[in-house]
Amino acid sequence: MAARRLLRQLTPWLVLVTVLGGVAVPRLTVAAKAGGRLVFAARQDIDTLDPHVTNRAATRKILIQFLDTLVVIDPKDGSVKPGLAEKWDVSPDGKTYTFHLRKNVKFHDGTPFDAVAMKFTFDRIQTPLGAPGVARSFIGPYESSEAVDASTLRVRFKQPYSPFLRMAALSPLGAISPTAVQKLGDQFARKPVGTGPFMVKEWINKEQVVLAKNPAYNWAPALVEHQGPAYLDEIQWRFVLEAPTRTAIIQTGEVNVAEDLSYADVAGLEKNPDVRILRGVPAGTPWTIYPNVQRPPTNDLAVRRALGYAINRDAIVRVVFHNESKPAWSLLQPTTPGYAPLAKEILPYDPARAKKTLDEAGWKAGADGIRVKEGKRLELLWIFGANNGYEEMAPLVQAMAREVGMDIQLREQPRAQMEEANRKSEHNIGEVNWWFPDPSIMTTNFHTRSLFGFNRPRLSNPEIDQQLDQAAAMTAEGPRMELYKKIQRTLFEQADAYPLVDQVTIVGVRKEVKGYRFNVVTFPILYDVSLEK
Amino acid sequence: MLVYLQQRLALAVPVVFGVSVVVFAIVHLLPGDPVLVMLSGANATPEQVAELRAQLRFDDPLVVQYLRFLRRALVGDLGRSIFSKRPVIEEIATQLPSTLELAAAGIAIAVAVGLVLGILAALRPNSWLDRLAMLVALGGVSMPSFWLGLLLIFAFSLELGWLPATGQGGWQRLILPAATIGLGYAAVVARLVRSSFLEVLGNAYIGTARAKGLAERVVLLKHALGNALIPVVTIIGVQLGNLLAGTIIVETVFSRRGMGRLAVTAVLDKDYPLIQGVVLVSALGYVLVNLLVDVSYSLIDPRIRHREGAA
Repeated sequence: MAARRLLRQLTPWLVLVTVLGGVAVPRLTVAAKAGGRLVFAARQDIDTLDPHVTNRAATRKILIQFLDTLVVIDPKDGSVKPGLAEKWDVSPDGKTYTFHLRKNVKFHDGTPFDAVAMKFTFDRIQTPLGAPGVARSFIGPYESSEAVDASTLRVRFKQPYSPFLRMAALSPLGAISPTAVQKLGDQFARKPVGTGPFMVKEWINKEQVVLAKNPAYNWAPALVEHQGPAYLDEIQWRFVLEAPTRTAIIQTGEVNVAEDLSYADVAGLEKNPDVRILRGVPAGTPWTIYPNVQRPPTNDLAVRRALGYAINRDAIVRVVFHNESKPAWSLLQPTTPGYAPLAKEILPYDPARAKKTLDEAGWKAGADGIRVKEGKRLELLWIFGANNGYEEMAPLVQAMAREVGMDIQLREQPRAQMEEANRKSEHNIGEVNWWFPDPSIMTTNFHTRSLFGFNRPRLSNPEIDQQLDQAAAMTAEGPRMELYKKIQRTLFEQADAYPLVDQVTIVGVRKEVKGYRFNVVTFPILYDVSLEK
Repeated sequence: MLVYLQQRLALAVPVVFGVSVVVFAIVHLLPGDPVLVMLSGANATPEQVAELRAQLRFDDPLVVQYLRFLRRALVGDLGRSIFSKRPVIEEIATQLPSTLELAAAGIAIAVAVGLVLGILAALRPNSWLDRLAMLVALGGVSMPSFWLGLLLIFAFSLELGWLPATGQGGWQRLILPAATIGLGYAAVVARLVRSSFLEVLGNAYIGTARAKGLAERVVLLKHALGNALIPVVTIIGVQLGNLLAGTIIVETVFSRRGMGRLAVTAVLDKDYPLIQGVVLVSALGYVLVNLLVDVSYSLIDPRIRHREGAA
């Protein structure tokens, strides 16, 4: 009885306290932003943590957490913004870049960041470190660097290299501590030292990388949402290779973020109030297949065009991607400068036109429905890579091609063997797609120089080569992008590539995760992330 | 006993040597070039490929490469992983304890569950209990481990929330993966225990034991079980290879580190030194376990004794 009376007397006070507490909430959350450990479920193991040796996107996602780059790319419009460099100039011939560096920046080991450290970083990429990693491709025709003074760096190239500004924003070209490299030797690959908002604490192979907050961090690029140290105390970056396992543990709460969820799981996860699904479109190239222009029968332009008319992208989007993506009509992703959806008019889905094109070229339907010309069946070999992402698309395209009288044979091979077969030109159809912020990725896919690399169509066209070289040398952004559009038009007219579906990145984050954003190639920016219970 | 052990260990030498030759040959005869794998993300030139191949000394004749590998392996140096640049021994040392822990827990579950099911079934042959136990066993043998693993995650982590699904450390994180390995294995053990137990129970000495008026519990546990265990121990030894192979899938599904994960990445990356090291260490382990199995016979059954000069 007494207790009830007491409660009645207290009630107004309780109400008041609750209301005041409610008013105080915004201030409290600001204070509560800092701290906590984020657990991230990553799809792939890493090969190394040395930015100059790695060849994997899986590693680069971690690099961006502990390295800073000279410039950064705004994912909204692809424009280049200041990073460790406050300003820069490019010489009129496009061969010399001068960067004016930020002052009072320090590496995790206390070494000051300056032009000498940056020169050391770029020079190291040229030295043999075992395998040359992607950093070697990103830095292109690098000649030398010069520390003009402590905060002025001059970088010279053998040829004009206009993609460099965007390349300088990629983590494999981020600044590393010269003293740490000298001190750690081979062990630098396990515990690298940069200037970024997080520091590498520990890497246990096949299990996880642990990153700790850099308390001294005070030089965030303008793009991010706050200044000073990161909010999170620690990131536990776990390798969880199985997609169903990632789907399970983002729901149990064992992890705060799970990347690359399978398309089929998205609808179910969206019903879970504890999980938010985030979607990003990385810059680069769509899921794309390429006909081999050197090997019969895809050396026949009519066959290549007919295959282009036969592909129903809407069906692929529906069946394979569960409507989580869109048909692709450009050789570049919509988030990449130079994007031009020209295939929609040049190589549209039109099975009747595919049949007509083949008829006119002398490919006549045989007894089993597969066309024949001069005694040769219209057989195409698609060598697709195991776990390369095309394994579900391949049988769909095979069925579509059969509708117009083509017999696509599918052969699955481990990635390494697929690369070898492609380089030996044993395929009729090859596949490759990239995450990349600049349209110069087309050089990798179509230039004669890349015949040993990723030139899947085995193209060696002097006109295309010349235009790709010219575009790589142009410093004016507008005309440069026009030239890339022109190159795409030619490639589609010659039916040298079929973009299929845009790449999308699907990430599940739990509701306590605030401030999660994608960079230009949809790698996670964790600097602004906080955990709010 | 000591001589027997020495003889067995001496016999293990040619076995391990043979394994090293076979592994080396298979690894190098497989299609796919590790140098091209290493360069797969870079737009490398043929010159860079040649340079790297020379640097890794893949240009030497295979026999020369093998002898170099053997000479180093004899002093415990298995080379360095061509990707991580760490000594292979160190790579294995990071992963092996986790797999041993998983395998040990798996075997414990297999033996415990297998014994209980098998004995229950044997005591009441053809009863509903027998049928049920054998049905469970059949299910266990037939179920693929990746599926069983996902089912366990779904049931115990996602729906019931009793156990964490992934990761390392603590018995809670060990139960589900160990059960995934152990249950399939338990099925084999259960069927074997059942038939072996039934056979033993038909023997005259069991009748004698009962006639002496011994309690049924003593008859079963002391006289019958010991004799029924011998084939079980054998099968555990023989099946260990399968169990280790099973860890590959289980480690991936439950996101644990371990030898299975290491082996798979090594093969996909064509990391020659690492593949050789992993297979060699596994072969050594296999030889060792089989030796232990043989030795344990004499502990279980006093009639089997390895005398000096016998064997």
